[in-house]
Amino acid sequence: MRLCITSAILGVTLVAGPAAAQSLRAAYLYTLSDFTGSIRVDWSRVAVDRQRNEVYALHQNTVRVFNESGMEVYRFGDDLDIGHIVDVAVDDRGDVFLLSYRDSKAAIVRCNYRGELQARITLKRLPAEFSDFVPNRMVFQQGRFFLASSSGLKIVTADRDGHFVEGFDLVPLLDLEEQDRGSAELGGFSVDPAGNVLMTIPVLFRAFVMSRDGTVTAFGRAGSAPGRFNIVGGIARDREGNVLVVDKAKGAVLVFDPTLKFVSQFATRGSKPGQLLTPGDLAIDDRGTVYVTQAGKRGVSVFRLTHD
Amino acid sequence: MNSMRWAFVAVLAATLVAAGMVGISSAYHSGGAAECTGCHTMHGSNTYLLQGSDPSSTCLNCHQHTGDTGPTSYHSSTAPADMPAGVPPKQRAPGGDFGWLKKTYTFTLRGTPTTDDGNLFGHNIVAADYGYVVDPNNATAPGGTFPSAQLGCTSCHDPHGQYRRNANGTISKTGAPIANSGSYATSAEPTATSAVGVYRLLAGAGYTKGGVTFLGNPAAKVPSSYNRTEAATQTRVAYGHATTGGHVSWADWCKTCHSNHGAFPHPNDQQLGSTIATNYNSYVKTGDMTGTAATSFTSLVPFVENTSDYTVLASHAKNDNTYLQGPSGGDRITCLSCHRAHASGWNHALRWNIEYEFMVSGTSWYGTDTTPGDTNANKHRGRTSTETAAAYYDRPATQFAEGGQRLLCNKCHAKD
Repeated sequence: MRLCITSAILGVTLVAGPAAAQSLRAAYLYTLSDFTGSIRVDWSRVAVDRQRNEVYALHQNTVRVFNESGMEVYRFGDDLDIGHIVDVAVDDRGDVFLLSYRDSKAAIVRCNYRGELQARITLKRLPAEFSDFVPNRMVFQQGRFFLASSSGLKIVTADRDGHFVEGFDLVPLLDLEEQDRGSAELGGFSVDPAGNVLMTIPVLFRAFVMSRDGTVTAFGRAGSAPGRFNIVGGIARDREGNVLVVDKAKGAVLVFDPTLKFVSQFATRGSKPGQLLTPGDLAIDDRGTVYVTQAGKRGVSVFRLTHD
Repeated sequence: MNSMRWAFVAVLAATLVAAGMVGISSAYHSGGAAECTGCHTMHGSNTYLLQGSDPSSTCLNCHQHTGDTGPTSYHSSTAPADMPAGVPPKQRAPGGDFGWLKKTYTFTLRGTPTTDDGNLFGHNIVAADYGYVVDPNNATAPGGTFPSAQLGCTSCHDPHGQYRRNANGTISKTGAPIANSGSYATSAEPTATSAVGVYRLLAGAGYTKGGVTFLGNPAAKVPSSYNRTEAATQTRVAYGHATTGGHVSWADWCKTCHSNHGAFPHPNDQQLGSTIATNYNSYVKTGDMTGTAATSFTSLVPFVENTSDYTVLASHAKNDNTYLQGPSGGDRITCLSCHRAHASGWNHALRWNIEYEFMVSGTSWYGTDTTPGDTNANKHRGRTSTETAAAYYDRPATQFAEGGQRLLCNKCHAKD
């Protein structure tokens, strides 16, 4: 199989693995910006609106909305009236959901496209084993919320009204021990359009895909070589079924094919355009636009991933 | 490539395997040397092949995590994204959250714009990737010569965790393999064939950074769950006093960098004596001296127990209020009685605000929200009541004297 991975504009470094089974092209595009220039914040939370090709970036209680060109078009939430916002999600209708805390109590705040509060949704009918559930990550997919507690290693799904649907305790599912709760925590969390949960756990140097029936597939090995994991962060699946995993230490995004074999990685650690400095999270839309958050006040870098 | 570096990594890896430290729990440290690739990358380009731009950035790759909603395990720093204006840092470990260093407060004090510079709230670690910068106020450690530009996590903590406590009670840098952390109340004790890590991987005898050299390790134990709110029960670190066999006292350990603080007029490392101990044990709150020794401990004013017995310390390190015994006259005051080791919500990493003589407003904490119109901004120093409460580890203000709780200097001195 001929490898056809090319370096893109502005020198994005791509390294191919022996298992490359498809042709990928990654190009650094720009950093999310407003009319004054790049927005230089550390580690935003990002969520994509697949219907409208917009991306939402949360940083310090302010939600910024960017159009498909990466230009900020709206912002809201820059006060504490709706609580301390820890995550953001968007549904097919364009409703915006904010996972928010007030007085140490979590709630999902539903807002309209202007960020105006429409309803406050609390989790209901949680089973006793999830009574201590403290979510800090949220995805809206397939008509329901997927909520995760990254340090508690639990996942809960709930309907639009907050009614409990399913719960997963990752400690037994990942073959961990109870003492690992709190020591092993999620570094990345997302849900693909089919409802599969994607996760990384940095201290295990591993990534996981949990299917709808709770079956878990692990992949990745520790190491510095291409395809190996140093300190893993965000994880997401693209339209083609490839899984993208952020490596914080390498400053790279590793791409695995739908069978979870390593294909290639793009970007390197550094401060030049197209490089990444301690990246944290990522999101990808249906056009192959990859949004990667990072440290060093370098904002959210945007790449375009294409398949030849 | 420096061949010595590779040799070092290889030896470290072999040591890990020999020690059988291949489990996943607490994967990076396990009481001693961590998994090499947690901190080093074989194909890195920077000094020591670190995973971050500098040592502290490497530490924070794991010890800070964006998205925390509260105290989280081994995290020692809150990401700026998680603490917008008015929202405090999340971590509540006894050492404190480095995130306070990034919380600068501005307020008007009697008509004068005033700033509480976050850089004064703790040890200014330098972690370029995480936005921690060189202390802009002190070129060297206060009372010492340690260069601020070199201050980082590894200034105080040995990243390889080589110091170990042996079965004979001594601490050494080499010897029997380290089997587990010796920090926790639940940690196993050393045996004839295995040692345990020293408290918190702290630097020990011969460890040199920034031109200063540590003379030994201090003794302590902490509950295994230590990064937690103290809204209901306190987290008690049991500090001990050991000075032989590779140990130094807590104050002498701090003096490695803050050597001239020995001239500081407040006693340090001294035994409390019966008068101070009696005050501590009797003091409940301002105007209430009805306390008893059995329940007088507060983690806002911890003290050093006059014992070097780790088993005793382990039995006193609690987070459920089952051991609140106060001091006897033989116990000691130390730097940590008033300061937190990492950072706090107040100037000089102090455990309480010394800028105003009172601590609470009736049954509430002072804050820009609870006492907004007050002309004396010293009460809140620009913090919201939520931030003030966080600086006191979420204790309810009602624990203190509603009519006017004075500073916790009085826990020992009882002048109120």
